[in-house]
Amino acid sequence: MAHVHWSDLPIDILNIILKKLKDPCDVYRCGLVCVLWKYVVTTILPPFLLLSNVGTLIRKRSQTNETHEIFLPEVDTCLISSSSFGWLLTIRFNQPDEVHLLNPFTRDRIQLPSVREFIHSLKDGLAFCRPDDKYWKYFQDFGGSLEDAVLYKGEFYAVNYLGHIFHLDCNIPAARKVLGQLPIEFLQCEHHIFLVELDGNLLLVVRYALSRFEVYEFNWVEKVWIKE
Amino acid sequence: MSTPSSSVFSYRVLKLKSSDGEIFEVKQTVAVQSGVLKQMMEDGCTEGEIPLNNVDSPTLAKIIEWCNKHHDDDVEGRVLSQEKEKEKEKADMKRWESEFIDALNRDELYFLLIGSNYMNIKELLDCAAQKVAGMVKGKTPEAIREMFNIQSDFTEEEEKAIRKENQWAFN
Repeated sequence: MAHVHWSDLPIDILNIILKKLKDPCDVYRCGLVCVLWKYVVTTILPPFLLLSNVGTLIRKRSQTNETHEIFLPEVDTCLISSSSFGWLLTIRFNQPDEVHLLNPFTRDRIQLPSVREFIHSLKDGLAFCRPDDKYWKYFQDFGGSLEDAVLYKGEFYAVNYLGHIFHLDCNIPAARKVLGQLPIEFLQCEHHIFLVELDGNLLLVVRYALSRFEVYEFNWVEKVWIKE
Repeated sequence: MSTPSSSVFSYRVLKLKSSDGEIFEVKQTVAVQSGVLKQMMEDGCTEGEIPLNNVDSPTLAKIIEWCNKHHDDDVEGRVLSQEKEKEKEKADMKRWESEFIDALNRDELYFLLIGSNYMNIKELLDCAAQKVAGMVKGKTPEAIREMFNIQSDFTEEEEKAIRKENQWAFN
């Protein structure tokens, strides 16, 4: 018999094997075996959910309810403000306060400038900083409370509760209103707005109460939200 | 044998030649489980020896054993009146399948995967794949590498980053 190299197993057979694994955690682990297996796994793996638990525990959860707890002493007594691209924004209100980006898996931490000066005053504004900046820079005057911001095609955009969308120019810095019209009937009801980039389109997701959603796509020519 | 239509399924026995040159005679009604052989029969090109370059003789013997077991000459003629009887046959077959697969060592399992894929025998491929999935289940990447003798071909930095980012998966 010829010598066996399991790493040479053809991709289509590997695919069949991996699809028989019911637990996505098992599939994920196979993706860490070698380069080829990793490639195949990335084509079939469903996303994982991250749940945080009172600031100190992060759970990684799969379809089969398996959970993996990661103890994060770094976030003890911290406010976990938000997350994006796998990083958590943590704020500890000490004297002086500590603001970090934390990757819960690699445990890498990046220190950011203090937020003391604007955390209370900047209610309807945005702040940003670049690597190695000592201070935050501000965007203000959004004509109403901000709901969400998103990175879209390399540029930052924000949306207020009226559905107005603003382009954020980080060089000046200044916020420029892109959309002037009120498109939408959603203003009458209690709602939350989220900006989402999907397949190169800028989408606005409106959530009413707890369970009803509407999705709008931004039309860059007419500068209006078109209901999907 | 004069027209293509009369050649369909006209050879009663196929001569399969393994990669190491051994000849196996298989009834057409058995060989039809292989998608590749079935296609050849329909195309009328099963005369003489059929070379299977990806399948060695021990593997081909196993594959034929599987196909013989899964083929039922009388499936049309015999009346399985009792539901119970059908269920029992099904259960017996499942048991036979798992014993068949469990008896293979890792190398044999590998060649069976390759061979059943090459000959397009879906049920056998599924069964062998299920076996491998069961072996992988619950194992760390390290244990999987060890079990199948797979060398990690990540660069040193990649391997380091993978371990750092996936501590939960390596425990």
